[in-house]
Amino acid sequence: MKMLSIALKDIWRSFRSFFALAFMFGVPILMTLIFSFLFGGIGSEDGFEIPTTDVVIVNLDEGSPYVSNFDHEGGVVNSMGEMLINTLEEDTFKDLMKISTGTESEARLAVDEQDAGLAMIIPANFTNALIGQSSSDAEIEFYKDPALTLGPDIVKSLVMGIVDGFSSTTLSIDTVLSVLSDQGISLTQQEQMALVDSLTSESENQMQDRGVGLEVIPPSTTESSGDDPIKAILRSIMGGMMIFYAFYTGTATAQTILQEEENGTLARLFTSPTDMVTILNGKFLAGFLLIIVQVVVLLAFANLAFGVSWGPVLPLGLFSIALVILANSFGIFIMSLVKSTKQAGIMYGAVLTFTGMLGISSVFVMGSPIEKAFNFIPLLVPQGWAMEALEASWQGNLGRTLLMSAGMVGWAVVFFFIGNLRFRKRFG
Amino acid sequence: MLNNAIKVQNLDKKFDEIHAVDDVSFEIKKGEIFSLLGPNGAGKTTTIGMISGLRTPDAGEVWLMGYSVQSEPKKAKAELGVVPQEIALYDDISARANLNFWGKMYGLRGEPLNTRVYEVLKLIGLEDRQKGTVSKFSGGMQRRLNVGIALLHQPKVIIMDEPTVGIDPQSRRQILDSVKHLRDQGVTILYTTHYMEEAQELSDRIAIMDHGKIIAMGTHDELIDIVGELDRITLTISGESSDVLPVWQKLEGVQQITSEDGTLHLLVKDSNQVLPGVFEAAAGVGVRINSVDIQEPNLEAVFLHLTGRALRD
Ligand SMILES: Nc1ncnc2c1ncn2[C@@H]1O[C@H](COP(=O)(O)OP(=O)(O)OP(=O)(O)O)[C@@H](O)[C@H]1O
Ligand SMILES: [Mg+2]
Repeated sequence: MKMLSIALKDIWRSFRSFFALAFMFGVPILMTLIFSFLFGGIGSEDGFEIPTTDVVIVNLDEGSPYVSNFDHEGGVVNSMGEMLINTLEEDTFKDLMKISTGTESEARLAVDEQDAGLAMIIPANFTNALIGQSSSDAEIEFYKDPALTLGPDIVKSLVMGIVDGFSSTTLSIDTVLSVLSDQGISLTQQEQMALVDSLTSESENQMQDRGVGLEVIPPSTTESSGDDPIKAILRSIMGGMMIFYAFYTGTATAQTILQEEENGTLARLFTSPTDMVTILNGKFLAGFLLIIVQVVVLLAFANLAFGVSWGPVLPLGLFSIALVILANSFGIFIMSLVKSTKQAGIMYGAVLTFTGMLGISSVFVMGSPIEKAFNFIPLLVPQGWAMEALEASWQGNLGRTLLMSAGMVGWAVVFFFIGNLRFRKRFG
Repeated sequence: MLNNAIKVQNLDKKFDEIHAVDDVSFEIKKGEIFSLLGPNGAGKTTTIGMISGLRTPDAGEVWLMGYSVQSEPKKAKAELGVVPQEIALYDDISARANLNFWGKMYGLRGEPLNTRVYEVLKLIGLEDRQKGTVSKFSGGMQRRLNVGIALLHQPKVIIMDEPTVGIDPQSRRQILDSVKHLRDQGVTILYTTHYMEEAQELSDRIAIMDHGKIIAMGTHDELIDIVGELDRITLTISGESSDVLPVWQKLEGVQQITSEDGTLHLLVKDSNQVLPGVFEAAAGVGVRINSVDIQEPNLEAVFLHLTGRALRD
């Protein structure tokens, strides 16, 4: 009964602490959002969608005698301006912008009336300027709705990137032509045209490579196909964060033993008719209950808010129990190794963060070539076993979940044995 | 029928070279207020730590209400309330939540717990602030709560370790009054302090402690008798004290002179008779007297007499 009172007191204190709550719930959720965004949230349906921008393009480009009628993607274009439009109309960018063409006044009106987010006016000398045949610089004019920022700005920087690609091509045309003329060779207009043609299509290939970089690359997770890749990413990251911060909660709760030792409340407890063992068990129970709450809340939140599916209940339950036991005993273990809360700070940085990141590293290398090579490293730390167990559980692999969970409990038994023994010796 | 609430026998505790408690023995009768008076580092807290079962003595034994703290710790501790010297509270929760929790640690539950929490809040004057978070309390309020926790389970014996250190006069008054209130209810109190006024005001008996040893013990009057009915004159001078000391020593009625960083203490039979001679002699050797303070005999004087040092640093 006293043991429960001690545990409830600790839980109450945690729930009143902004930091405790932030690290239990806020930070893992926030980190999941941030990492998901970095890993490829663009264009997802789950909240971090970049708006599709309506773009009206006005093509005033008059072309150039050098680049008339050459092939581009099976079609025939007459100017670089047209080529730019074709590029932007590719499937790659369809989530980012909806393109229409029109006259300059129509385009400006569309933006003014907020029918479009951005008007883009390609100047008459665009082609000539790009291939170095115009006396003045060509500038694409962007006219945007001041109320919108993100969408039009992204389109703008994308266009600049593409035009950069074009102009590096034209730079090489210039170079080639001047080198040739230095050597006394002059090309006919026909020959120059062929050169421009081949160089621009080369640039077009490079463009293609760039375009791929903006695509959402679905991670090659091992779960059954047909899953929404974004949700799979969210699940991996959320799972990793949950494990990382469950260990954090275990450690922070065990740290309250040191805190109570330093602020005298532990000594005061020892002057009450309460056994040392009861006091310690109460503190351990607090960590156990807190991690249960944390894990349940994070699992449920990810499911309700992100639509993450955690797989069948039985393996998930097994994993969760093993995680709670392991994270709690890990905390008890590492806090039993330090003398003061000052030293505990180092434990957080060195041990908790390091082992945690290692353990959930599979989340960050997934889909990359080093994933395979990296396979065994997380298993050097307990968090890695938890990550494996979680992955097995959402794949519905009960056998493997059992195996990994048993491994987790094995770690936990060792941690608890040493931690408990050290604390008892310390206060005995 | 047992009439000792606390019995301490030949307690001894060393920390490396420091002999913190050196063969200390005393008995406190039921219903008595007993003060341990001593300067910083005298060994008061260490003694109390061994009485309350927090520290294991190197030698000796302690009984609380007849239960040996060493062999029956749970029974002994249940009889005891402890007010630690350092404030020991959960400062991130409310005063009421603290009282509730500590009450449970002493076995109180349900309605009796509620009643006691209410009574204690009233006694320490924190009814209005019971829902306030402790970290927002003033030092004095925290001290009062620190005391209140020890009273929850209505122990028969209460140990208070310097419960009034560094607080405002109002909170101090409140704590001293609650001690008297407890005495009126027949509670036995072991009180440590380095304020002799507190020891004098509260105690039935006083033990003076220094360097781990009890150097004197008795009622206030018994202790005063150690120095006799001597007055104490405290002087500060400009000039060499070595010039004036030999002359003063020869004066009629001067019993003892001690000197401490430019401050001189004279123990004299009757200060009114001695003072003119003191001034005259000082003028004779060219020493100027800057301040004079006269005190009737008190515990401070007793401590000075026994140790040659002032009680307060
Ligand atoms: N845990 C400890 N380790 C080493 N030395 C200690 C320890 N606790 C106390 N001491 C030493 O023992 C001596 C007695 O300390 P104690 O705290 O009992 O004195 P005190 O009379 O309570 O002093 P104060 O009025 O300052 O509270 C001191 O010299 C102190 O430095
Ligand atoms: Mg002390």
